Amino acid sequence: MNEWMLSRRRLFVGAAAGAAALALAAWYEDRPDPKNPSKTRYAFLRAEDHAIVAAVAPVLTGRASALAVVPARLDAAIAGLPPATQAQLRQLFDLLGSPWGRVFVAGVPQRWSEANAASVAAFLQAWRTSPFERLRAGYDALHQLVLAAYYSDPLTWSQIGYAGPPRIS
Amino acid sequence: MKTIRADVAIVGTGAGGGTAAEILAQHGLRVVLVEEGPLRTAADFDMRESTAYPQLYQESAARKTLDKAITILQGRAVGGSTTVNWTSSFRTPPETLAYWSERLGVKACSAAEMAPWFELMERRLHIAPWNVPPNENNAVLAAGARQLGIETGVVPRNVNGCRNLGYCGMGCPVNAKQSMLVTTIPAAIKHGAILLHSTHAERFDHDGSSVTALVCRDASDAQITVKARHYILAAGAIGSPAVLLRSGVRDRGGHTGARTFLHPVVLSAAIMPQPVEGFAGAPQSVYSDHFLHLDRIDGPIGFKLEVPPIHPVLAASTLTGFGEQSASLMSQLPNVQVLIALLRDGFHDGSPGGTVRLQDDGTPVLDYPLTPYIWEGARRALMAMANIQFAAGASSVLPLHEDAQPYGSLAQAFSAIRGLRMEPLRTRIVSAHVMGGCAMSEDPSQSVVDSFGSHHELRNLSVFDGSIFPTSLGANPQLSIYGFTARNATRLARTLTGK
Repeated sequence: MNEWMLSRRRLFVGAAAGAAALALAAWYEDRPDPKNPSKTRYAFLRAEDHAIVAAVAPVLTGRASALAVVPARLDAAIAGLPPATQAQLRQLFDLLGSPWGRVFVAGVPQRWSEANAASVAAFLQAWRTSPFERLRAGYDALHQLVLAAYYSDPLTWSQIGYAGPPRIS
Repeated sequence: MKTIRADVAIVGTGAGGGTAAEILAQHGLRVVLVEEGPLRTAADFDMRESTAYPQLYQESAARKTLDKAITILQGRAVGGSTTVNWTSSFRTPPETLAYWSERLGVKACSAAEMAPWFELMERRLHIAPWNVPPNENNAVLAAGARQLGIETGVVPRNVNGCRNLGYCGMGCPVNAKQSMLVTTIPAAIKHGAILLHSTHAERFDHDGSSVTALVCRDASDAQITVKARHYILAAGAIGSPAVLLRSGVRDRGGHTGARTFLHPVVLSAAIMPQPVEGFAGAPQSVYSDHFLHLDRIDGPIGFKLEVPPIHPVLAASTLTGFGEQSASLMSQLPNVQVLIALLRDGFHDGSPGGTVRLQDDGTPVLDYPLTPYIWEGARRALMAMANIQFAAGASSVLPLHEDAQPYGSLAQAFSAIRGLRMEPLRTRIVSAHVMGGCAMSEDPSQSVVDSFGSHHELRNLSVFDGSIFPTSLGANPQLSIYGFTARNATRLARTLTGK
């Protein structure tokens, strides 16, 4: 079930640098949670997850307004997914939210709440084109969740020439 | 714990379960239908993706294969995928039937033998070629193909009084789509059938030769046991093998859940100079089988060309790229045209399909490795689609691949597509057709059920859904499921009633 962590065997097969970073991330992952960050009003997202979503949403969509639109809708979407999928997304967010994961796997030096758009874009582009299938899957999950969340909001439709569903007489 | 007794218990209310329920109930048999999804009707269908996907689709329309490389659209509501499909209704292609008969030991499945059953269901569900001009999204396929001398056809649809809205995928708000939700299931209920929706079929209890009970959980997690003379599995090609695997039902060759096919779909997006508005109008009305017929069925993989509806959420999450590329494409949404190529998998050694497995929590996941044979066809399909889109006057074409960009000319597009790394999670692959996993054949060492859907090992169990197909179809599956189920359920009804 450790979807976002490479198995030990695969780690050794992988390229050294990437594998080492993932190993560190996996090690961090396995440590007991020091203190559960206080629950926000979200069903799934924790405070640190929210910072990640807030950092990636405007960069993925290319729209500044994503900051306001995406987190709540993304949270609701994840809450509706099966438990097994939610567990995998939890691992993804925990990996990105850990300092090790952020710096060595995502390559983002600043904390998510302070990360600039350029380093977030570099992270997304690196994962999107990564030789590691798991990282491409991680990018794809963020892409799908964020883009779907953004364009599910009727307030965004005026940006894309979509008038919404027709009225039925 | 509640126990319900019936003549026939049916798991699933999609194309297979719905069709079987009506036929069996009309024969005077007491039918119980078990559906894991909710009961939603036209009043609930508000044509919003944010409503429809979480309520009506498996895993909120984000179901993935094990490696996450393929997104699978499958219904999860009363009516199954028929409640949310795009209404395309093709008979099983004759060459597919011939392959099953000649190569895979399926009997009584010639085009001539099946024709009466397809006719029956075409009448029942009002299936006819769409006689309204196609929307521009479909018209581009027709126009580009015509320029290139590629033959196209008009899609037969199961609609009655269709308003040409274009929201079939979110549930028909005017009950025009002749899904199971508005046809066979109400008819079965009128004949005494009981519908248990929001009820999950956990497993069969069995003694090795027959099923003794169907164990379910309702929405409050209370157990419901259904005891019946006969049991029908119609939970779709991922759900049906999953029930068998959870039940510990074995087949001789170990084929339960194996050879699962998807018609893996690759996509090509074009920006057209004219408005396309792919969010409005019948989603699928033009198709081309040209690329299915270029070679032998067991040669290089063939593909069927169609178009998808283009709504904001599905478009934004499927189009590749992020940031400026995404925002720019989405800003031009009314001019975006998309072609899809459905690859006909399962007819070649290089295309053994996938395997349904159970996760730790008992839910199924499909492991579908993408093979070089598939990738070769995917590349060819991306080129064929770009060719058609430019022939129809596209300003630019974006093959949906993470390394691709919008290209302004066919030469640029071809050159780029030739160089694309065809790999999981680089090439966008989706699927809306899951088939196989409980393959039919007369050879019990090579299959799970016989040619009429009867399980080889458990005498009172049948499988009536897309999981019995021993390969993919090369066409959208609903009418194939209707036809085979109509025949098999009629045969079963006669056996059970002795008439």
